[in-house]
Amino acid sequence: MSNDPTTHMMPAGAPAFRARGLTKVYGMGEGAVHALRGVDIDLHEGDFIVLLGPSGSGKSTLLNIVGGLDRPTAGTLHYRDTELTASSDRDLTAFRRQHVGFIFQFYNLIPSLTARENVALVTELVEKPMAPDEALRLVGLGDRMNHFPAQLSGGEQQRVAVARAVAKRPEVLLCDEPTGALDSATGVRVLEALADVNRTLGTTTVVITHNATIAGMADHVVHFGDGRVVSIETNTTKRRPSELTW
Amino acid sequence: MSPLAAIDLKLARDMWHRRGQVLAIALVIASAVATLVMALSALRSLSDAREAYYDRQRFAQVFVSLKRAPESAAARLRDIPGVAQVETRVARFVTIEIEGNAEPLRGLALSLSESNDTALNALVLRSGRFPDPDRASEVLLHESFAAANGFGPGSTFAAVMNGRKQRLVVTGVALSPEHIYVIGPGDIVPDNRRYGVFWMHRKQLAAILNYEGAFNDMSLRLLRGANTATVVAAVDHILGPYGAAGAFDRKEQSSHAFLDSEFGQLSAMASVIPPIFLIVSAFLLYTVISRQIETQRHEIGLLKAFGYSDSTVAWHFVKFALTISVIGLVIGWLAGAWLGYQITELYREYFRFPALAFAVAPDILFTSAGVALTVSCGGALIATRQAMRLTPAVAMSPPSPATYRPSFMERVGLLRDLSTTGYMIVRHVTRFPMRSGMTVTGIALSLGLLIATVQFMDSVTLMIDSFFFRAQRQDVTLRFVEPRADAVRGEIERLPGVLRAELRRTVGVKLTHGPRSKRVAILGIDPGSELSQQVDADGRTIDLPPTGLLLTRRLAEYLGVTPGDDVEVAVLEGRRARTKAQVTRVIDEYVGLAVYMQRAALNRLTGDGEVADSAWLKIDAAHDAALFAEVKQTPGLFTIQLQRRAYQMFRALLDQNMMTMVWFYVGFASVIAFGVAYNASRITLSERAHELATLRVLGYHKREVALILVGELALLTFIALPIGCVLGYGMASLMMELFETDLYQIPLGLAPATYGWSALVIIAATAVSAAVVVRRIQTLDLVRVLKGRD
Ligand SMILES: Nc1ncnc2c1ncn2[C@@H]1O[C@H](COP(=O)(O)OP(=O)(O)OP(=O)(O)O)[C@@H](O)[C@H]1O
Ligand SMILES: [Mg+2]
Repeated sequence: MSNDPTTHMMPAGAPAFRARGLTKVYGMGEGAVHALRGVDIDLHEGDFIVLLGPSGSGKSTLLNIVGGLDRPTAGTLHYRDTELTASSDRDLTAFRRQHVGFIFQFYNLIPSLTARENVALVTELVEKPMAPDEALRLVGLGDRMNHFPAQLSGGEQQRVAVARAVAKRPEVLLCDEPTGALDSATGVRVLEALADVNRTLGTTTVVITHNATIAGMADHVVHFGDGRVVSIETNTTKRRPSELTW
Repeated sequence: MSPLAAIDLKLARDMWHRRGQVLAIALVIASAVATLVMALSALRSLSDAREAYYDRQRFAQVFVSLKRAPESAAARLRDIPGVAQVETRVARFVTIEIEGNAEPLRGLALSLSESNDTALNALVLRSGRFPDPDRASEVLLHESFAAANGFGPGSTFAAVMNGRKQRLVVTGVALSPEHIYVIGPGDIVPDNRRYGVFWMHRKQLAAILNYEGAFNDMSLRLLRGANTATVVAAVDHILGPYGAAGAFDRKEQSSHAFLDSEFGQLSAMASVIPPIFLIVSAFLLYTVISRQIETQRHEIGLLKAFGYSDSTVAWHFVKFALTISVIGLVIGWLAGAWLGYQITELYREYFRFPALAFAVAPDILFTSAGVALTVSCGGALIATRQAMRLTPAVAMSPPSPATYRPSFMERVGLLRDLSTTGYMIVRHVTRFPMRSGMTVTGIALSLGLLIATVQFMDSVTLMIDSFFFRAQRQDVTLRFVEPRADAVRGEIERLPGVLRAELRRTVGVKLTHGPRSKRVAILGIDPGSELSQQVDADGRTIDLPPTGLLLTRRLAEYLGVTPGDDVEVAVLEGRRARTKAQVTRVIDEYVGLAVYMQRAALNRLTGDGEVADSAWLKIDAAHDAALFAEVKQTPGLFTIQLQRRAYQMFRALLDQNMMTMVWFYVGFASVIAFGVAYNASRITLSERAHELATLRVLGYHKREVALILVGELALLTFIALPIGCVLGYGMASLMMELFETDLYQIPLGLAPATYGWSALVIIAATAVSAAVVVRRIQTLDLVRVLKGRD
């Protein structure tokens, strides 16, 4: 376990993301909310990282900035050799399109599209995607491909979201409370899918969760508090999702 | 603050938030109100002005012209029961000559009454004075001719009367209720430079025309409650022996009839156009309010849980509709008043009133308010049924997740190769069939309206082309003073520049079939005419049968005759023969109520032998000055009517006025199309903001996301276009039918290009609205979307 109060470095691998002094302030003057208060962190290629922290500590804010959905008030963020903090809106969109898969607590599926079409929405955008059917089989939904979201349970919908995120073989997978709305058994299935992708494709994966148990399956666990990285643990033995219960 | 006051505040905030939609709907309502106020107010202003004018100047109610009757006959007319006042006079169409103008000009010389203060059809002196009874040369000139030629008191011109050229001095300029609309006989468009009315003292005009103690024109005014038909019959009985051409009432008086036809068009406009706008605005309010109820189901549930009644909740939404309507109403009133004022200015050029002021009557404002508010409340109330059905419990629970299924077209195997976003578009459209249907209907109606109004150009062009290039192809018409034996042809053919001459005979008759009868003129034509062609409904040229009549469709329908039927023909001149004639064909001609017959057969019918009263000429334009000069020198040849010139004037008039009108309607239709499309895309955006933001998160560029919004609108527009074309055709037929009068029957001449141009305008209007809404894609908040379901 390393605990460096200034710069949090994780051993092994080249950094995929390098954040320095990331600050995010909402509003101005008296009522200003400091969501991030100077985050310095390196996220390495192929790592499975879990982000833990109290509500309101700035986890989602950080994840959104890392995913190119939001911009920091100050600080720099690099993805490999690209400085995302200096990129245009257009380039950020292209970055998300090419490299990033997102999974959110609310599945954000398109209700007018079937499971397969929701996945196809993303595979149509990139060069060498998985076939939508393959991605859905990967999350155990091979037999529900032609169902609309309204015909699927919450867990099934979240697994469609996972399939949608992994189908383009992204280099980065960002998940904000992916199991937040699911029961434990269903949550485990979703986590298994994430772990599979991380292992087989080498996808750099960041998962935000309130569930400390999930930290067991991570390479590194980042503890977040009050807009800062409080500490980083490295697991010497990763546990398989199926070994987790809550 | 009570929850209702709070919700009122919310109403105000909602309206501000949706100000684009509010304005778009208000503009559609405003267009309805503006058209209504403009048409009805202009109609009222004109007809009030006419009524007042008629009243003050004692405009007559029955008119007749005749050959010659002794003044003593007037006493017998005064004895007819129901007759209040009789006015006799001397009238004659003459040739006018103006120094330095070689063109043939025509005029109508009328005798003045003894006292203008008590006379029927009294004149309004605009400048100068009445002529001195003892000066033969003094005349009063109608303002239209005076203004067009720059004449005023002191100006001089000449008129050829009774074969003698008279030098005339203008003493004053006047207006007459008989000549509000001044148009020469046989003309279809006013030509104020070349046709004028003037008045001379009776003594002087009678002396020139040898009508001392006699008259050839009479008008009378009826006692209140008198029966016009009986008086007309009595007048015909008394004046028949004096060559009367059949008495008629105001309906057939030329100036009055033209005004009537204009009034008819204004009221057709008021009855066809505003309903379209109002239907569309009701649709728009329905969709906007439905959507509001959808998004405000929690507030509605809360209100109901507090115990507020359904009607209170409904009233909240009706208030929203009423506020929009009131905004539209006020804009419409102002625009309508302005447009009405403008159109009245235009009328001032064609209709000569002593005073024509445009006024907006309060009852018209009330009517328009009543109609607009009722219709919008209707649209709102239908939408609120949805809110009424919500129980508090249902309203408080989140809306059931949007359920979709493959669209009908997919299920039958179409659309297999659509992109994923393509499916999003198609399924959204089919998931809300009611709303999509209304959007399609709205766009289709706007296209229909545009086609129906713009095609007016096509139809009127067809009408005048058929008149000038088929029915009356001559360059000029030469009228004789008296019917002449056919030998006159040689004399005419020797005139300079005459390429072809065809003799004509026109006879005024009254056709009767069963209970219906109509005064018309039969035009006698020789077989093999090149300057006049009659065609049937399919456009095939018809050979004039040796006997029998060719009737225009409207006349045949009015009399209730079909080919093969006999009609009674009462000749209104000469020997006044009465016989029967067979209707051999019904033809399609659009100006006036034409009746054709072979000239020889017509001459047999009147018992006049081989005569003609006019000749239609094809001339060499290079020699027209010589021709005009020669005609003036030739006794017995009376006037020349320039047919080519009339055509050019009509075209110019059409291009000028119709283009203004077309722009006007392009504006109106664009307002509807824009309003409908803007509303539809705003609602789609509000409904799909979450989905669109999700797509942006997934890496779709703004342009690609915008395409979904635009694609939906494009799909609906694409469906609406053919429907709009069909609607346009239907509305055009309806309008042409409403506009039809005895003076004109406008054929439906919808040109393919009109469909094309109209569709382009509508596509442009929807594209603009799409562009406005697409700008909002820029401001989609991606991060907020991820925080919740909606
Ligand atoms: N749009 C915003 N405007 C103002 N303040 C915001 C906004 N978004 C987030 N915040 C504030 O920023 C802080 C960090 O928010 P963030 O969503 O990153 O927290 P979190 O760690 O993800 O919390 P949770 O675990 O509850 O999701 C919070 O105090 C939040 O109130
Ligand atoms: Mg969060």
